[in-house]
Amino acid sequence: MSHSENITNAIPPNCDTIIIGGGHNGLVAANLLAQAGQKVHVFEASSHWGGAATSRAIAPDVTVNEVVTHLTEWPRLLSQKLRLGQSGLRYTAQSDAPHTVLLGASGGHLTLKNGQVTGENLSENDQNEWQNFTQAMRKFARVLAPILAESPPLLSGSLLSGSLLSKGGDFASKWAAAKLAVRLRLLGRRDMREFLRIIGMNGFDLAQDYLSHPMLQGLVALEATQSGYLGPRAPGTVLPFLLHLATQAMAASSLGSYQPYDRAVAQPVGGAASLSAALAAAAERAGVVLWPNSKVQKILIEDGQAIGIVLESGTRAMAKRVIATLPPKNLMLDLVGPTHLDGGFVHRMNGLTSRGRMAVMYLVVKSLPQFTGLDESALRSRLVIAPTAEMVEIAFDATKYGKCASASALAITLPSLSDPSLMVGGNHILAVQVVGAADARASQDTATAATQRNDLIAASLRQLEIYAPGIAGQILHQHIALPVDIEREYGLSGGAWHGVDVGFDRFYALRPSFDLADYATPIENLFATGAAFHPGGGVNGWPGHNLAQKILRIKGGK
Amino acid sequence: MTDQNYDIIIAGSGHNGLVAANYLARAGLKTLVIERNEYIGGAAVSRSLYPEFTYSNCSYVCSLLRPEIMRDLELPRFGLQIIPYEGGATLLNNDKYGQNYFGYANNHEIIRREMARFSPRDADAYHRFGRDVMRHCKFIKPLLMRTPPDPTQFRPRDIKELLYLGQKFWRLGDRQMAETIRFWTMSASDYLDQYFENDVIKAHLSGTSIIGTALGPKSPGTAYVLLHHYMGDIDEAVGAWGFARGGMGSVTKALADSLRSVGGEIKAGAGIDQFLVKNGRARGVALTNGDEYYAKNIVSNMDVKRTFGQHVAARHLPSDFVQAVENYKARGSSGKLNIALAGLPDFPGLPANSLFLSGDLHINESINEIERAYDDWKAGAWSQTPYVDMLLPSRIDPSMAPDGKHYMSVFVQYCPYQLAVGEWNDERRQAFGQTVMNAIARHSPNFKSLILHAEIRTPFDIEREVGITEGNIFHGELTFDQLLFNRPIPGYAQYRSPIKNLYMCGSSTHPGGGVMGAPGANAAREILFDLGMRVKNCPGLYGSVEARAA
Repeated sequence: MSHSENITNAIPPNCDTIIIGGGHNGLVAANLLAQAGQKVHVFEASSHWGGAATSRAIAPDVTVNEVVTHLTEWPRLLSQKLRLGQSGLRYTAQSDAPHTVLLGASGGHLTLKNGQVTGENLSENDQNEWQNFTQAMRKFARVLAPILAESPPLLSGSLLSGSLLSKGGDFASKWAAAKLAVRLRLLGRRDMREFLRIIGMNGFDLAQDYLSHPMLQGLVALEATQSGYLGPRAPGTVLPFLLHLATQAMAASSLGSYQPYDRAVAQPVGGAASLSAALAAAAERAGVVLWPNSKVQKILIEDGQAIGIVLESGTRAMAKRVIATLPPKNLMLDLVGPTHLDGGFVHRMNGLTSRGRMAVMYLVVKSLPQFTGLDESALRSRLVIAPTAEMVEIAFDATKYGKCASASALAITLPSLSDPSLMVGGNHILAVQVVGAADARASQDTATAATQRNDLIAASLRQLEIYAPGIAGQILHQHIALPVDIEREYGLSGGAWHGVDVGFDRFYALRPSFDLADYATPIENLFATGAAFHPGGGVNGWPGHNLAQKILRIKGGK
Repeated sequence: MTDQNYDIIIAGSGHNGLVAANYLARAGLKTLVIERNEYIGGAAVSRSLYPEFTYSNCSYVCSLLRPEIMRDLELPRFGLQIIPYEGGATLLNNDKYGQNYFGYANNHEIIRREMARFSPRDADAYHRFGRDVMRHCKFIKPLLMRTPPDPTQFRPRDIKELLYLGQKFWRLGDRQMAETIRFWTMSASDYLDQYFENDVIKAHLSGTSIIGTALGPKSPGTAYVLLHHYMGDIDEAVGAWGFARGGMGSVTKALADSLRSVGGEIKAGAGIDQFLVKNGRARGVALTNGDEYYAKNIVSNMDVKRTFGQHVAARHLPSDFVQAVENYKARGSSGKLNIALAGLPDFPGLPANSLFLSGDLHINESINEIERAYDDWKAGAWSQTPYVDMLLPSRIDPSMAPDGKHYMSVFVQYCPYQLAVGEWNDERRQAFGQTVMNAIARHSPNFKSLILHAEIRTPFDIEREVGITEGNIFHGELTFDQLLFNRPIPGYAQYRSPIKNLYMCGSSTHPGGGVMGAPGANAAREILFDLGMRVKNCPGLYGSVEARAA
């Protein structure tokens, strides 16, 4: 991109909105605001767009979507709203492969499709249990789903503190919360009670309450903990599980047709990097000006109002409002600075934790791997190795003490199979999410991190070997990104998807803290969004979308 | 076969059963308490299992007993005396600190001084910590003696109660609201990290966050359990625990005497076989000896799993309810050692005759150590480095042991109800006891040589003797999904059950475990509400809930 030259002259004296950070949420917000007629400028510190949703060469001739291995949470609705199709985004064909296959040692696999489970030696009871479970979770996910696309109310302005029409907070977000309460009520007494029971529960118990098959329990345990820091026995892990399903429900073509664990989801061709390229291109088409290689050093604040930014180069840019998409701690403490904030707020920012424990491993293999007892067609599914819930818990035990697990839960996809554009020199790639890595704080030392990388690869390969004998001999390249690598390379704090740990205390009107939940900061005209904000991380675009909607709602938003 | 008719029959003579019986008898109802064991008291008992020694062989401290109940039922008049702890300590024996201790006393200045020995910063933070914990206590305390609302019903009383809660919550202000939600859902480890840096201090304070729960200090939700133990009300000092003179049996003995004084009856040595149900109504109990007793209302002091899993035929219950009872989590995680000692053990880490010796002694030096103890439990084994809360009650109350000798009560966590290696047997019980004694002996070289007798109790033993499912001391986990309107079963949090006239008053109902008495009092209030009655001279029963009956 050529914009970075002559930056001083190029920036108009006053634009409507400056966005700091060209991750997908920044681009989504930029696009929507520009479509509404705003003049928007986006400043990105790196040379590429899309933040962590990008590709990277991990070896000569080997380029992969290093962090974001698949895009099951990206909503088609946003692709349409942002007109990504006009900017070259294509989807892979809708596959008929099952959503997920749970790998069993010596070939006793379970196939999840259409809300059903099939497999050898599976009892009728197991099948019924799974069906009941997915139906219940579908209901609950659909109760939660619509709030993902709305900004949360502030606690002080929420329904709790008075009527829908009271002054605090904005009406639309209160209305969204009221609708959530109504949806909950409409579940009926029995389901509402069940919802209120499980929402604060742990994934381990949820799995045990509904399911008897250890592999199905293992899957639930994994999905309850995949994106967070906790183990499945930790209370509060059902919430992230339901949010995960809700995000997928919002990504489906319609909420009504959503069925958990239905079929492998059609994804943008080229994966995360293509999505990001399309987002950047569509933003430009909408009139957004993109500034790569432009690290913002400071937010200019006058009389408690954000008026613009200063780049590291010293250049200033002014705007009516500033939106930041970086982690709230960095934003408030580094770019704003404690002098503009009260002590309690600074304390809260310092208390935000972000602890990723998922590593991403890539294997480039000479030919399609042979999993014992698995058809080639099933390789288009997500393959999960999490034989029991206990195993997923034990993998977390290692993380607790700053170590990598000796046996992690693995979620494997072969993106090159359904999307040949992702093939690497005619070879296939396996993208493996390894849940059981040490969190970033435990890998600060370079030598420790190197050992951890080697050990985690070796341990994961040992596990893979059990299910796909001989796979080790097929490997041409192997690569792993630990949370610490993801943090350093992409600026995701703690290497976590979510920017701030997900939990009951960091959800909806409390995410990332009660006074930032509606994307507004204590500094007037400074807004914040990103993975740390409602509804959280992963490539789903909702944080950016919700903020743009909110700004457009505010009087004089243009 | 004898036939007897009562207004109220209460199954189980635990403290909650006796509290409920007391209030009901005070309303003029003909009340009978039936107890399976030959002795009364449930888990609040004093027993003499070795000549001249008295053990509080289950529960061992008294901190949560509601003062309004003590007043209403005139327990001091019936001999109950609570002696506050003076302090406690964590004993250290490691490379960093040598043989040393961290002391904790019922005195702000001493705590500050002790903390300063380990971290001056933490000593400064203690003020903030104490203030915040106090604030959370103040928020929750009034909820203890109230019946939780059912948010899925549209009845006026539920809506009223929900509004009360909403309003109370809103009055906190947004910042405090957020803090409260965080506190209810955080892990003790994360919570303490907000205030303290020193491992020893954090380990000491985190101890109360895991007692009785099948969670480690790093599990979310444990910060709340920490509070559950801070709500003690002795002499209005928050966080203070106390001994009952004569052991915990004195609590239930006073309750029983108080009950008899108002005409209530107690029948011990009578195990209940079944609750008698006819046309969806409870009408009595059938004992294992064949006797039947009838009453208009039946109250179960047993936990919800035992009540409905073992003593009510499933055909009388809706299938959803049966499933929910099955899903209710009561996990055994604590064991207990009661030890008769020939003399006072030496603790080289502590100054001689230290005041801390009269409180609870801990031996865990870091949160990670306690968390590892939890990891062992998850794997179906007792902890190799157990969490230990030990006391020498005879230091404060000489009546517990002969002159010069001492009774030591050792609460141990974690100890599973079911071992991965197989059933509990005597050999494994002894091995568990040895693990604990060795852990203590690290801090007291002569401890083992002083042992005259040791009673070792695993969750399995506690279930067998006391009747609590899995030996879970709180009658079920105090996790978010089992608190307030979810406790014990969503939709049945108001002390009633699917069977008419059959009520619950044990610790598996709101507000949960500990020798608190609140579940019993709340259940009594609900029964009286259904009967359209009110007890005079018991203001504590109604607390701030005036005119509930109106």
